[in-house]
Amino acid sequence: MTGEARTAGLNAAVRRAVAGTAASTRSFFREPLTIALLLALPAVSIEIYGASLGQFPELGVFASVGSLETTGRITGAVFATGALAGVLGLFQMISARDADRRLALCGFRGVELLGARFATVLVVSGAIAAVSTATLAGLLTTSIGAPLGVFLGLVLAGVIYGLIGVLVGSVLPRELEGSLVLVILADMDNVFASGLFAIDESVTRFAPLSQPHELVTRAVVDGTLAVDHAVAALGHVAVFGVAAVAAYTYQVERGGDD
Amino acid sequence: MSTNGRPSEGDATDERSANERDGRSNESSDDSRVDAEAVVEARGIEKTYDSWLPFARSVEVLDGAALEVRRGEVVGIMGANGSGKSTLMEILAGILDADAGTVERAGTVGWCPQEPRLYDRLTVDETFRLFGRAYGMTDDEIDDAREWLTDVLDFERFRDRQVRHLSGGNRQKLNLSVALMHEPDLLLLDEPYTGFDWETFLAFWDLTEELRDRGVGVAVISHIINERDRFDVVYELHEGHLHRETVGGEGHDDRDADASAQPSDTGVQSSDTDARAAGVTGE
Repeated sequence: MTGEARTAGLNAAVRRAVAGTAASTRSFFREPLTIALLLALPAVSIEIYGASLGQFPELGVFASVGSLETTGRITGAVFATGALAGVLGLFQMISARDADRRLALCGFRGVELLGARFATVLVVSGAIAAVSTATLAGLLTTSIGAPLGVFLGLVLAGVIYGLIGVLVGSVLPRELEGSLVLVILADMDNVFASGLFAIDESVTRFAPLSQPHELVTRAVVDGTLAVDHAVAALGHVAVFGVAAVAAYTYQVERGGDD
Repeated sequence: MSTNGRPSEGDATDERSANERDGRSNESSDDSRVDAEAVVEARGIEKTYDSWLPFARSVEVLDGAALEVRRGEVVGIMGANGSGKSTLMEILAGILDADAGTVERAGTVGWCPQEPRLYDRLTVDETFRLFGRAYGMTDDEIDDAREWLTDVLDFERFRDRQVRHLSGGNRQKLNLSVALMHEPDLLLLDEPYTGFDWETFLAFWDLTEELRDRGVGVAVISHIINERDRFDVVYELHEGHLHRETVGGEGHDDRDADASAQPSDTGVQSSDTDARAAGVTGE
């Protein structure tokens, strides 16, 4: 292949990836119910988690870094961001499954489609994290020391669960069952990640939300950016990214006999 | 076997005539069509749907099915509900793998599935843009294709509407347009006129004639018995086997007794009834 042909092929691949990302991002933001959930769920989750934990007296039953109410609100923000992004990843896979196969037949490569899906997860996770960060800042009684750290932690929570959603949507392409798996997983994960219970840390640190949760907590309570937790969270992104690539590529390229 | 709309390196162009290959003579009154290159040739296709569930039975859909479509030929595929027509077409298109057999394609493929596999929240224009990108078309080529097809199929006023808000008929027009927009060498249409009004139904056949004249090979799954004369060749799918029948010209060429014994498997009776039974609406 000549250099010119290679450049033309690369340009065509970039155009396809941009078109695919634009199409799936538009699809997400065109659903009014999705926008309503995007705006409402973080506020509801942050408020309920904060109010619930705030009811407990500070007797040392829970192992929290900040006050129980603050820890509860942080936990609510991480849960809302992860769950929303996860459901997006799941429904992106299920609703576009047949159309993706047709697009692949028309010339999109599996990797280009997947790139578009990942880019959409990133864009939408950013949007959800921005809403969650703003909502958390508004509902906390104290000011946030490092807002950028909070935003980064929530973006990572969103991306990790977005990828888990893509993974679940690839291997279990059913709306009800897939949603149940995701929400139950996020709920259990959130319990581990909250650090409220004295569970062996060698186990809980592998919970997908644990590193983003720690990032957000440090940013809120200490005003610091915990780079070590950010790196560990990126490790989670890599692991779930590879798993999602494998599952998605298999699903798109194997044909239509479910 | 090619797995996308473009020919792969492994796609072979078979120059042999049908007569030579099948050992038959005088099969068609149209010598030029017989001599034309096959754009798709399937041999010995087998497909069985297995279930992972215990006690669920496997369903054998295709058992040694063979078919070819030549350039400038319009081929009808008929058969009873559940006989495996859509499965056969998905295998021809390359979206589904056969358990056994070979499919050779020469040229680009356009596939119009029975259920439109489109993105519900994109508009008509955005759908043309996205699939045009997939086909590797330039912006101008995409615009030209969109102008041509929305005009011919009469749905240009819905260009800004999201797919989920289109009527069934207009969604089907877009479905057909996506298959056609890159002007493929082989067009595979799975009951393409479901939901069309009468004018669009006629416009569809005018378009098919135009494509035939351009040398496009067209295969159409149809339930409309009285449309048989529009086809050059009809394949009847029955119990996993395809029975070929040449239509028109100097007379029918029933090659298989089963073919003539099965034409009413679809249960459709008369032309108007046929059209409506196939989902064509209004007059």
